[in-house]
Amino acid sequence: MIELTNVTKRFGATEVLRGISLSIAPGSALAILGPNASGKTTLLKCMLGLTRPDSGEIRINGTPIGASAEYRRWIGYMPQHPHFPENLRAAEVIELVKQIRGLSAPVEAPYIEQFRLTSELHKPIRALSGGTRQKLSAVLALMSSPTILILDEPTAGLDPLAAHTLKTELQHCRQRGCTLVLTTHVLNDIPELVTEVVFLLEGRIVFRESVPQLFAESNSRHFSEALVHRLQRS
Amino acid sequence: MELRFLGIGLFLSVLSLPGWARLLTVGTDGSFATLREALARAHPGDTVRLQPGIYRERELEIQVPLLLEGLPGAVLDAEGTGEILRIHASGTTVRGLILRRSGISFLRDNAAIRVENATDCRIERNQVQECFFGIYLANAARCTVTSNSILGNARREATSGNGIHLWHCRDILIRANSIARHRDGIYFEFVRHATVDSNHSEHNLRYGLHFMFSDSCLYRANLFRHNGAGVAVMYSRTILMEQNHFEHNWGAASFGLLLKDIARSRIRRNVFLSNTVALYMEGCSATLVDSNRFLSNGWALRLLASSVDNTLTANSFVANTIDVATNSTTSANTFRHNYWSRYRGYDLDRNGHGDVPFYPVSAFALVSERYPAVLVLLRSFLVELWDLAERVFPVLTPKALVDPAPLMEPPG
Amino acid sequence: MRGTLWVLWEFQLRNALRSRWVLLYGGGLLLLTALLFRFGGTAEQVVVSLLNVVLLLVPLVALLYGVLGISSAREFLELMLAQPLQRQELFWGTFGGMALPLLLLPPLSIGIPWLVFAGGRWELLLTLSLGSMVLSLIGAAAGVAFALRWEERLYAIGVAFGFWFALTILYDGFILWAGIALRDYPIEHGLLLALVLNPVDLVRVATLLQLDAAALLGYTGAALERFAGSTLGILLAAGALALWCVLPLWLALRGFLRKDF
Repeated sequence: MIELTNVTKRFGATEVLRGISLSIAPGSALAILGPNASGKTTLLKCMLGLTRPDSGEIRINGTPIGASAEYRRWIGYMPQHPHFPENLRAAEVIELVKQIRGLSAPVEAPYIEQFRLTSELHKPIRALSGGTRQKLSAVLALMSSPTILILDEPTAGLDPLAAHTLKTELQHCRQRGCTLVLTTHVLNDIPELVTEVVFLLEGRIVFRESVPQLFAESNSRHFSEALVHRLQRS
Repeated sequence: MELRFLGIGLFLSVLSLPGWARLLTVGTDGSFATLREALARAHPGDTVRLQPGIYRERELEIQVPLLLEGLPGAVLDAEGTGEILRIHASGTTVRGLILRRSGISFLRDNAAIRVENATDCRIERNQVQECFFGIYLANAARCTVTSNSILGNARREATSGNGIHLWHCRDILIRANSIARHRDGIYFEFVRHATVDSNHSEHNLRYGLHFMFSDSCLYRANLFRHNGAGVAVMYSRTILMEQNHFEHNWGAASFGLLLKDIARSRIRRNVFLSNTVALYMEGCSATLVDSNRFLSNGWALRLLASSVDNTLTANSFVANTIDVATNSTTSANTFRHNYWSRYRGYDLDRNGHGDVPFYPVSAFALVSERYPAVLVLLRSFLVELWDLAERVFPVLTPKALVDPAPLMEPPG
Repeated sequence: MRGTLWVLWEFQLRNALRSRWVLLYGGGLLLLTALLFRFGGTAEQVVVSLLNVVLLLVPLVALLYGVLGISSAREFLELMLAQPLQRQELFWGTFGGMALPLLLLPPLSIGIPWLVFAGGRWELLLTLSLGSMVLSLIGAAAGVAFALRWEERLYAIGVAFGFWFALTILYDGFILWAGIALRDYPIEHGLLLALVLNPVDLVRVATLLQLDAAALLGYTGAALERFAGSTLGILLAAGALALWCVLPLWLALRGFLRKDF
């Protein structure tokens, strides 16, 4: 359960979030949509505690974030642009996260296989392509079997095969009862991944709608058309 | 029995006849048990010979000219009280003795050997150990002090005396002695025409050589090393100092050679190595400083404004922290044909002299001479940068002193 | 399980040890020291030559490393911030991992040639090592604080250069000015205090006092030696250094805790 109450955030003169209230039930899958600079990434970072809201409250599973960092144990996160220490090897980065999280079993092994990363494991990060880094980022987010996944443009930079693998894995997570919050520019991915969308504009929620409802309202088979239809209405 | 005594008596009386040079032996096998007895019986021209052994005697007087010699291992020990040997007779020679522990006193300058009001004495090859004063000449003339070794154990200036001390003397030769661990190694006051040659004076608390009001003396080929304050030469005229070594005189107030009120003298072919201040000149005039070598000193030369008409030539200044410091901006002294390791000039006409003048007083040297507190910035980046800037832009260097034609190569 | 801090330090150290600047910085110092020993000779001469390199280079490298390190450590931070770690824990883990190689490099690069050439005068090596470590710590902490305070990297670099310039040159310029302008006053003690308050000067003077160059400082040098030998002097110097270490570090921590990533 993720609950945001009246969250605001400004960077200098720019108000990035203007009173966001949002409740995400356990097991639901939600996409946050909106044009560039509408506050999507900031909203995700607020949920993670990377960015501190100026006002409002965020609770995860009932606990206000900030008091302790323990809630992040339940969260898997894929940042928009994954960065890792350049001189470490991919395997070392995985090892580092495992040690921090106190994981000792080879939990990463199935994901490494799925994403075909085995041959890349012993290369230093600086030698990896953007796509490979994104795959590594996915492994890191998934391997600890989180109950909440926060994904900022998860399929960006992935080749179609890897994107497919990721979507399959996300489906598995959902079947396990995992909560999914993501942003994406690839609108056609949305019906596959989530059941609900929230549309953000200039730091405000314009609407929140379930995906079947959107399709039903617009009589369209394409999600982008359905979305445009909904936006024109509001 | 009586005959035997008579025989000895006769023998002794023959020995004591004037005009005969006799040998008086002191020691367990000798005719005298103590030196005091022998000296009391000696006649002019006699030889008094000390056999090996320790003689605990003090306040001994030599009243007639004689030769006093010690065989190896003959020791006179005053046990820390009083003076050991006083010579009042002209023409006395003392040699080969080991003299120990004259007494420390605040009232009397207790010496190992004192020559007083006498001439033509010779003090040779003696070893003076742990004495308050070593060899003390007062009102003496035409004496020689050679090849003695004088080793004190001075700890504080107040409780230590000088190694070789001359007061009101003339025509004295001091040669090949080694003096260490006294207050001043060699001390002169009111001495004329003395020669100090080939001595070693080191590890003395204050000065290796200290003289005042002593004109027309010659100092040659001596080594002054590791002395608390180096060498101080004051209030004297027509001095010649040559081929001496002034080395490792380090300390907040140490000088290789301190010259104060010296006139018409010459300082030549000396070596100054690793002294805080190699040569300090205050109130000096008409003195020629030439062909000396200044190596790795803090200041090679500190020339105070009170010094005038001195000439510095053919010296070499190598690797000193500060070559020349002066508190005057217009100099009345002449610098010419010296070698400066800092000099970056050129010699187009190949005459051995640089074509651009050298200004040996750096800006920092000038400032720190006037405002000593800024010396805390020594070796700071700011000062190094300043020095570097002066090398790149010589125009930044103050024009306090100039060597118009510096040497391109070190002389000699 | 090992403590989180150790894990962070270990992996950051691994990362740092494989980077080029470590080779450049450590190798450069090492080579310089070895050359100085090879051609210069005694430990005293080597220290005199090394002194200004250490006094200038070490704080500058540390400052830049602090500024650039926090910008490029963002890679590391973003990854770590999503883990169950407290901000404070993460700060010490990140800063420690950053500062550790920085702190260890100069003593090692100077100490190894010193050992190889059997330099002697070990107390000089100790002073130089401790001095460079303190300067590295101060520089790195200040650099991090600047980078956290001023988001724009170029601006933060500018501030770092200014700070370095102030410590190494401007400050001494001020002392020079004071020594000349206030000559009629008994300023010796003021100057001593001024020296103690600047870590760069403090390290320089501490080294000079162990070299025979101390004799060149004249009356002020004598006062300095007396002061450095006194309990008050030692306490004051230690206190000033401690404050210098703590203050930038505290600013950096505060900036880190408030930072939005």
